[in-house]
Amino acid sequence: MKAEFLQIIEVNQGIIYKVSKMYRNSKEDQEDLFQEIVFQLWKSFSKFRGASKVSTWMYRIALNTAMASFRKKAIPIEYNDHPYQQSDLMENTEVSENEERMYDSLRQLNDSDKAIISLFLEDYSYSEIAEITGITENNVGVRINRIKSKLKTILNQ
Amino acid sequence: MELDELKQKWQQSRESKRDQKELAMMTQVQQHPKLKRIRFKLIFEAVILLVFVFTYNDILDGSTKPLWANITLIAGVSLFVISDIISYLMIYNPIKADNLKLSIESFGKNLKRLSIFSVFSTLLFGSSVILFMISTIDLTQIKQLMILGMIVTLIVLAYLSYKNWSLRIKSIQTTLEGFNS
Repeated sequence: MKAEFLQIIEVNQGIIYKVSKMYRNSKEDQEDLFQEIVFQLWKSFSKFRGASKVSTWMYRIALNTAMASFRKKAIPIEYNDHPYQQSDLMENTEVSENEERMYDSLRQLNDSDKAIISLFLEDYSYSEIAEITGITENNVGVRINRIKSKLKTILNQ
Repeated sequence: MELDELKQKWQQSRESKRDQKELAMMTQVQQHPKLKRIRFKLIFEAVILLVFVFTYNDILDGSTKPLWANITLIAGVSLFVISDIISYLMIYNPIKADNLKLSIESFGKNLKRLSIFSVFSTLLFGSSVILFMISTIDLTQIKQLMILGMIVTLIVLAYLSYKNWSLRIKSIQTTLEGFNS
């Protein structure tokens, strides 16, 4: 079972990366959240029976973990001590300026808006977003329009 | 950047390339960043408790203290440890329902209960230690001042703990309000 899980996560780890980067500011916090999400995904894997898409299940767990987990206080910690630091691609990969700008803009939204817009950007339908978030389909439409306006303002600043 | 470009960027953004070995490590509870810290705290407190049990009669003169002082101290210490165990379980299992709104709602309720329990256990633990210490001593003026200092410190610590919990609860409530707006 673990081999199957690891295969799925390896292929779809971009989802965890995006959620971690959107919900946390510092690299260290993003790294911690990444680990927390993988841990929660593994815990819930036995209950995942393929009723929904793998990506839907992953988004549901990742967003839930990001919103529920406590954000650490800004205590300076020596980042070199981190066990995954050597191969940490969040650290090592050169992310384009535009991508950084995208994450900076998304981080300015509140937590629920982040969840809704991430699913919208991933091309989920309104009904799927409603099912994952627990709000009505009509409300999803209203919220997405509001978030788009907010983002336009942020991006034009 | 326009919204269409934003969508394109989002879908292309998948820079993480961890191998299965790294991902496997992350499934272990020992690697969980927050659980690791609470586990350390629990182990530390367990060691303190053990030291306490073994030195109870010799250093703390437990046998000469009144029964009520002993019971209060044991209750205070136990509640403090139970509070940590509940915190551990809460972080271990933050996902409470299938959809985000219900899950956050349930998590928020549990967090409120835990905050009350945690502040209460801190107060009880501190009070029990003070009561245990003063249960058989003659209260001179200097000792009274020292006890007053300890009580003030305890109240400040409990207040800081309450403020810390309030921030966490407010953050969850804000998220929930976001879903309800």
